[in-house]
Amino acid sequence: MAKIVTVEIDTDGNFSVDLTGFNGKGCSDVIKAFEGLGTATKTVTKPEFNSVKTNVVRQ
Amino acid sequence: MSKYTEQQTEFKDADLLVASLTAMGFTPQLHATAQQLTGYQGDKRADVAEIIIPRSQVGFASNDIGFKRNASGAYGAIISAFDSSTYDATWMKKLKATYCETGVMRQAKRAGLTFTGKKTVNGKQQLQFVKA
Repeated sequence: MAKIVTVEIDTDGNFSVDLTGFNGKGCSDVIKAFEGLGTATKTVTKPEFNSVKTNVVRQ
Repeated sequence: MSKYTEQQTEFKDADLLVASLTAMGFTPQLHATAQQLTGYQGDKRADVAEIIIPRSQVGFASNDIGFKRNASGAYGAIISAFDSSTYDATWMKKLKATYCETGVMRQAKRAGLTFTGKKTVNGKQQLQFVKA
């Protein structure tokens, strides 16, 4: 499955990062690359790989 | 696994902020230590900032615009009341979006991602990348 990263920038200049097709550590490494641009307000592990779904909300 | 994360953009990177202001048509000054801003009459103001847009670039009878590093490490804008009518919330949103897009492209490259395209969906800019 192709590893696709979609970054969406809203009209306020905030953004979201959506990863699909990643396995294991590679997922977190990509997320980490974008972390320095702002502060995470929500992180969700998507369920399509039967992972436990977690919601982390940070100020 | 795959992940989804929402981020609130903050001006944390001086070089990136300078690049974004440059992309918006300014030639900002970057100082290692915060410098006093200059007012429209050439007067030195009490406000200090590390990144300064000289008043000559801001507008007629305008004051310097500054971006000062705060305790959290992010840069906050210092804009005079006179200039805030032009450099308002809309302008700040545009700067944030420019900073965000410039930063995303830079960080994607560093992460080894390949840019595959950009489109507008419901008023939002979508940038897509693939990882080999």
